[in-house]
Amino acid sequence: MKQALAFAGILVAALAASNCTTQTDRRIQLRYMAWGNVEQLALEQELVDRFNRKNPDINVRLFKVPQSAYGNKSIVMFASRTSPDVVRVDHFNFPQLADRNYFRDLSEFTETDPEFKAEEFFPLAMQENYSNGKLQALNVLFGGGVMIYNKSLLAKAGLADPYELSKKGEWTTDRALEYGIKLTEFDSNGRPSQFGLGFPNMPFYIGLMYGFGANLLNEDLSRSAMDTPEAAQALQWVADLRWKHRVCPSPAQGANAAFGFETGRLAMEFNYIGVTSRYREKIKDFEWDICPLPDGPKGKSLFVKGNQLVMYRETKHPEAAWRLMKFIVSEEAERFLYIEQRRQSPTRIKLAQSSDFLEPKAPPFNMPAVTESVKSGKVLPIGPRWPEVVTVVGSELDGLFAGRDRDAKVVLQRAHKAVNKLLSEDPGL
Amino acid sequence: MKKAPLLVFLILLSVVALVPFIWTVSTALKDDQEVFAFPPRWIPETIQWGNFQKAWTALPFTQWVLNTLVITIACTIGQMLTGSLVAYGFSRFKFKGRDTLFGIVIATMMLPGQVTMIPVFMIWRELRAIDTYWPLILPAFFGGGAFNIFLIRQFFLSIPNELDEAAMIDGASYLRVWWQILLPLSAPVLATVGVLSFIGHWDDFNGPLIYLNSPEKYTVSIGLRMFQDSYGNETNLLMAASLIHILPTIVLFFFAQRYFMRGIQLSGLGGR
Amino acid sequence: MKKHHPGRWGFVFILPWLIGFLLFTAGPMIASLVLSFTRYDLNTIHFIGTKNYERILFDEPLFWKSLQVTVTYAFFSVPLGIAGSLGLALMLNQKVAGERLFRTLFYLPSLVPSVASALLWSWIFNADNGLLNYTLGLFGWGGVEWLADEKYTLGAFVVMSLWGIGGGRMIIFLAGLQGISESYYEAARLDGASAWRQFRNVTLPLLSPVMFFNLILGVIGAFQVFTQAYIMTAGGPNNATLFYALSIFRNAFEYFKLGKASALAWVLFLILLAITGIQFWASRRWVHYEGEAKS
Repeated sequence: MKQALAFAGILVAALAASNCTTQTDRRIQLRYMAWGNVEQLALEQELVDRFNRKNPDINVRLFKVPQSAYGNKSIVMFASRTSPDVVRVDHFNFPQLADRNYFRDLSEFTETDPEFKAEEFFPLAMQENYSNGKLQALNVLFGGGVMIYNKSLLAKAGLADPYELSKKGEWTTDRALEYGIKLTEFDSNGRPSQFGLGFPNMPFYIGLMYGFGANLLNEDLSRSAMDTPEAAQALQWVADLRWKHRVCPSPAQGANAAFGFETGRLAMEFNYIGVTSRYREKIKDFEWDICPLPDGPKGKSLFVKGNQLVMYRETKHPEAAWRLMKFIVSEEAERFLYIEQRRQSPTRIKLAQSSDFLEPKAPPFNMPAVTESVKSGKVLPIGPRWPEVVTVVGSELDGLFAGRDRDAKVVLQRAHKAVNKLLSEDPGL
Repeated sequence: MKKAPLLVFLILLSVVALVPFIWTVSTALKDDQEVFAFPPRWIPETIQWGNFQKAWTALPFTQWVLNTLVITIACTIGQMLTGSLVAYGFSRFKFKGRDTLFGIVIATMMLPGQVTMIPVFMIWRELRAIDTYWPLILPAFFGGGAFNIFLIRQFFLSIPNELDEAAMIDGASYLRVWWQILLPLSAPVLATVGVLSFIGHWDDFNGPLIYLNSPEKYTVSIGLRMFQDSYGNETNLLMAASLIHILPTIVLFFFAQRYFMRGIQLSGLGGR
Repeated sequence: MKKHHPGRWGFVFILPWLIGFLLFTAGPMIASLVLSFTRYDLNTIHFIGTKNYERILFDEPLFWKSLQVTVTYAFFSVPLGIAGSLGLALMLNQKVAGERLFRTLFYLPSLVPSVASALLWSWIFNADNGLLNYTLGLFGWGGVEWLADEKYTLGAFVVMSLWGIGGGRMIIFLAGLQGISESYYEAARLDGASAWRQFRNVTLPLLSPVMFFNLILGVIGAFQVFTQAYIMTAGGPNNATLFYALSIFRNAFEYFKLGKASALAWVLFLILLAITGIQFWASRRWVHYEGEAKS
């Protein structure tokens, strides 16, 4: 018994010791956190490696957390004072977290560093970085959403290229529905073998709402705007895709990989262009490209949103962290991330307009579809209460999207009431 | 009951109990396409042993297994040591309030963890111990849990006092009596506590979920969740990774089976 | 006769537990009670009186939903689980060949860690490719979307919980059964009792303390189901698996409404206290102790 205990004790000590890294590393240690799928995180790692090579006095480590818990983990870490030094925060969460003073004011760097020129970036992108009048972030992964389509499947069905149609203004929601129907097929057992459209999740359905002339909230984000007939029209169109016309996979079918775009069993999907780095690697048996979201009856369905790169307020190495942040939005990094790897649109105006970006050598080739969103996309109604609003709206709309409720108007009335109630109360109840 | 039909029924039941395991192994050994083949096959066309290696190397499982071992073994030792110490106090000594306090021990077995979860998190946050192993290991050294105290106390009660007396006449202190007389005699119940503790901490998901942020500190349970996030679409790899999580407890069980069964019986029957 | 040693030392030895109890149990319980009267998001704290409780009880359908989900789950899984374990134990007690092998095989499922179990059962319940729907299909029954259809998801969870009926609980029952002296059964048989009567009048009463113990722990355990719901369904679809423990976790670590989460925890505590109290009161009717047990 005693020997067993002693042995176990030694084992623990040995294992614990093996965990400790010997601190002979004189470099400044920084932690950088970002999200992404496996391929996207590899890109971040590449950026980190490049930075480390250029800055031998700093060692940056990419901090990975389970992606489904990214938002929560980052908030817990901010709140428990264990946050990494540089963190990418989704713009959805940015206003709320900035209000809590978790981020460092960057103007001390931007105003004194001659290398940083704010005018090189899209004004909208810079605007997003401000909260309560203070510059609290730099913008990364800035842009809108697109539709990705399987050219081979469309050609087989004899359908015109949607990008060409969009250039002529003929890529509309009616057309998209038509495509969805023509591209959905069933096998001899009645099981679906191919779906025409992927489901437009948040925020894609908000973009579509714009196309129908609707919005979630009003101009100053103080009240819901969901009680309009346009909003009902928009969301009915979305819900019908799945439940009336059956051109979208059901929630369960969409959850596993069987109908992923890369399997070739989904003809068109709503997604961000950032996913194409994975597609370039994985898709070998069909041709694909991108096009903008279809125009709605009242106008374009384009939305634009960035993400914030923040410096944790209590970082021990603000100067080094600034160097990292500056690098991530530098021309070299943006060239790599956005032009080469197509992670999103560049935030630098010059790069977004360059022919390298607009005329790439690898798919997707229709890059102007991305720039369109930046040029004419509408911002999403994101304020400090967004996380709460989206939770409430999401749970109401879930009934519509999961097929339990069939009438968008009724669902939206409920959502409208719930959001107004939420916004009239203090946060956090 | 007739024997033959009973046997058949039992065989059927055990097949049903084992089928999920077999199915998991079968899926883990399939290649990407075959996983979604319909109708599903039990034996893959080409057995992909490499899936295990792929899953293991896709994410830092080695680090995670080591981490989990450190936590689990430390907790097990803590629970065995302090649990038996506390049980010693409750079983061999009479002091004011003893029975009331022991009643509280029993009552805490019925306490839902959620009632203390948030303030405990806040305590660790103030101590700057978030993202360390302290929140996961330290509590094990404070008596090791009501269940274990109960178990070991019952067992101690069945060991005659005369042995204590004899040792003390020879000049042994109370502590020595505990360490040299009671503990060795309690090997079965301690082994049970040890094995149950090992399995419990190997399995722990909630604790690491709340307290661990850095991926290099994760345990296998959180690591598996991370695997689900990143590779969840690749069901065969996911099943392989799950098997990695399952295997150690099954192996341990086979080694400690004897102690196990006896100890559980002791626990359920109040030490009879 | 047991001689006890001077009390002081005993107190010293139980100090680890006592300190731990004050630090990690009693103190936090009081703290969470206080928290339940505040609004706290890990950043700023406001005292708001009973607003959290009012909100939970009168203005929050999700509270009642999570209660309904958890109670329904407990209502099925606890009795079925106990009956299942007892049934298995009875069968294994019949001196069939290979008892030890069966005992081991039935025990294995309870060894599977919860995360792994959640993942492999997700795959079994998969609507298109899962084993369950395929097996049902072989018998001509249509498959259902176990984890995506709110009518069936909770049922899936109950089925999952039954996979572990061969676990510790069964071992305990088996040991209990084996401990019942044959003489009781003989006496009953002499009185002309059938197998069922023997079960009802000998086995059940003598096992009742163990069953009672398992009933209490079973209900408490059912109210703490978390991992499977978190991993498999995230509380869905449409909150069909919004177990109470998941709701508390969400309010605390996803919505950062820690005051409300604390209130939810205390409501849970009071509910469990009430249920356990009722069980204890009812136990006088059906639980028989062999001679009074004094500690």
